Amino acid sequence: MSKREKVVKGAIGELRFISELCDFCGCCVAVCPVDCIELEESRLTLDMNSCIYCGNCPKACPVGALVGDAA
Amino acid sequence: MIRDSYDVIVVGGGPGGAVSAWFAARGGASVLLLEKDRDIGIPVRCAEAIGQGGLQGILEPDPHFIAHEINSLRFIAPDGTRIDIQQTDEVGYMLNRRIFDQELGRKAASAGAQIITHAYVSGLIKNSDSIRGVKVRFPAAEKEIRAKIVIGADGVESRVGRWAGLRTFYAPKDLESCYQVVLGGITVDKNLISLYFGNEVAPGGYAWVFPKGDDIANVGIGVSAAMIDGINAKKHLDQFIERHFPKASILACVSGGVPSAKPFKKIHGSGIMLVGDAAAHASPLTGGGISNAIAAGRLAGEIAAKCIADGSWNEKDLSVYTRMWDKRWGDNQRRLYRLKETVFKLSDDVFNKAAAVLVSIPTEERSIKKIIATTLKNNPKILLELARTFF
Ligand SMILES: Cc1cc2nc3c(=O)[nH]c(=O)nc-3n(C[C@H](O)[C@H](O)[C@H](O)COP(=O)(O)OP(=O)(O)OC[C@H]3O[C@@H](n4cnc5c(N)ncnc54)[C@H](O)[C@@H]3O)c2cc1C
Ligand code: SF4
Ligand code: SF4
Repeated sequence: MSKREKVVKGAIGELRFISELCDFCGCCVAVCPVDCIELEESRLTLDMNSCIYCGNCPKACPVGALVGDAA
Repeated sequence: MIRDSYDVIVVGGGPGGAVSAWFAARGGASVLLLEKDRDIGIPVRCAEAIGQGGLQGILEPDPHFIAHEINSLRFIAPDGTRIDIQQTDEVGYMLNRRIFDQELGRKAASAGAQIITHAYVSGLIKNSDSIRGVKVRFPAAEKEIRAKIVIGADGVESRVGRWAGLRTFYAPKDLESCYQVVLGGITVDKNLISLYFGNEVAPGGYAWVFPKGDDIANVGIGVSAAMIDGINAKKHLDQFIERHFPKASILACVSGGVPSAKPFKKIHGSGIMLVGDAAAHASPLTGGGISNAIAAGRLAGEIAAKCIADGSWNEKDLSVYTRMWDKRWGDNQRRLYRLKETVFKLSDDVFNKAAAVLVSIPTEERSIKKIIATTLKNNPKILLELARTFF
C-alpha cells in the first residue's frame, strides 16, 4: 500500500449496512484492514466492536450497501 | 461421510480450488473441498472470457462449456474512437462458467477429492505456528476437520490467508469494484469483445461488452475502489447501459470484486498455500483471473501431493510454491501492475490522442504485431501493450 493510502482510523463517523442492497460479493471483505466482516452465502455480519471506521468498505461496495457517514 | 481428517483441505470451489483439489487428489492425497455456496459455479461473478492457452493441459475445448470463440477485440477511447484488432494467432473463448466450474469440480471428484457445498469455513485450527485444519459451519452443524495442508482458494473475499497470518488484504486502489448484467434484446457481433475506457465511463477501470450470442452479452464495469466518489459501479453501469443499450432487457445482474494488485510477498506458510484471487493472481491490468487461478491451482495441488508423499509440509517445504509461482508469473504480474498504474492514470485527452494514431493504421494491418511495429516510432506504446495483454 502506498503512503497516500494509509488506513485512516475514524475516516468515517458511522457505518451503515443496508442489507436489502447487498449482493454478497465480498468486495468489502477484501478491503477491510481489520477483517471484521464475515460473508456467508447470503448473510453478511459486521463486527462493529472491531471496526475502525476506516471507510474502505463503503468505497469498495459496488451497490452502495455499505454507507460511511461523515466523521 | 465426512471424515475427521484429510491430507489436504481446499477452501473454495472456484476454478482455483477445484483444480487444486483435482491435482492434489491425482497425486495420491486424500482431499476435501469445502464451498460455502450451495452450488459449484453459481452465482457467475464473471464476464466469462478466457484465452485459448488457459485451458491447455486442463480441459479439451468443448461446446458444453464454451459458448463460442472470440477473434477480435475493440477498444473504445473516451471520445468514441474505435480501434478494432483482429486476432489471428490466438483466439479466446466465451465460457459458460456455470458449466465450466462444474466441469472442473467433476474432474476433482473423479480424481478422488470429496466435495461438499453449503459448507462455510469460519476459521483455522492452529497449533503453535502451523495450520492443522479448519472450522466449518454447515447449515445445521459445526465441525472441526483436521488437515495436513490447507489450500485457501476462497476468492477475492479470502480470509484464510489472514487467519494464517499472511498479509493478503487489498488496498482500495488495488481492488476493482464491479457490477455486471446479462443484457438481452441487443444486437452484437458475437465474436467481438469491446472495452470502453475513460474517466467518466469507468474511473480507474473499464466497461466491457462480452457477447454470449448475437443478441445477448455480459455487460459490466469495473471501477477502482479508491476512485469511487459517490458514484458506485452499479450507477456507472446504469449510465453506460442508458447510453449504449437503452432498449435492452436485463436478464441477470451481479456485483463482484477483482484484485488488481502486485503479487503478495508470500503465498504459503507452514501447512498452507493460497491460490487464485485469494492470492492476487488475477491480472492487475485486465482483471482476467480464471486461467491464472487454474495454473496456480495446479501448481499448489501438485506440490501438496508431493509434500504429503514425502511426509513433510512445513514452511520450508511449501516455500517452493511461492518461489515457483514467482519464477513463472511474478515478473509478468509486476509488469502488468506497472502498466495498470500508468494506463488508468492517463487523462482522457492522452488516451484519445493515442487512439487517433492507432486508428490511422489500416484495419487489415491491425494485427497486434503489425501495430507494434508501425507505431513504435509514434510511441503510443501503452495502448499496444494494453491490446497485447488482453489475450
Ligand atoms: C464482474 C467480473 C468479471 C470478470 N470477468 C472475467 C473474465 O472475463 N475473464 C477472466 O479470466 N476472469 C474474470 N474475472 C475474474 C475471475 O472471475 C476470477 O479471477 C476467478 O473466478 C478466480 O477464481 P478463484 O478460484 O481464485 O476464485 P473464485 O472463483 O472467486 O472462487 C472462490 C470460491 O470460494 C468460496 N468461498 C469464499 N470464502 C469461503 C469460505 N470461507 N468457506 C468456503 N468457501 C468459500 C466462494 O463462494 C467461491 O465459490 C471477473 C471477475 C468479476 C468480478
Ligand atoms: S461489497 Fe457491498 S454488496 Fe458486496 S458483500 Fe459487501 S456490502 Fe454486500
Ligand atoms: S469501515 Fe469497513 S473496512 Fe473499515 S474497518 Fe470498518 S468494516 Fe472494516
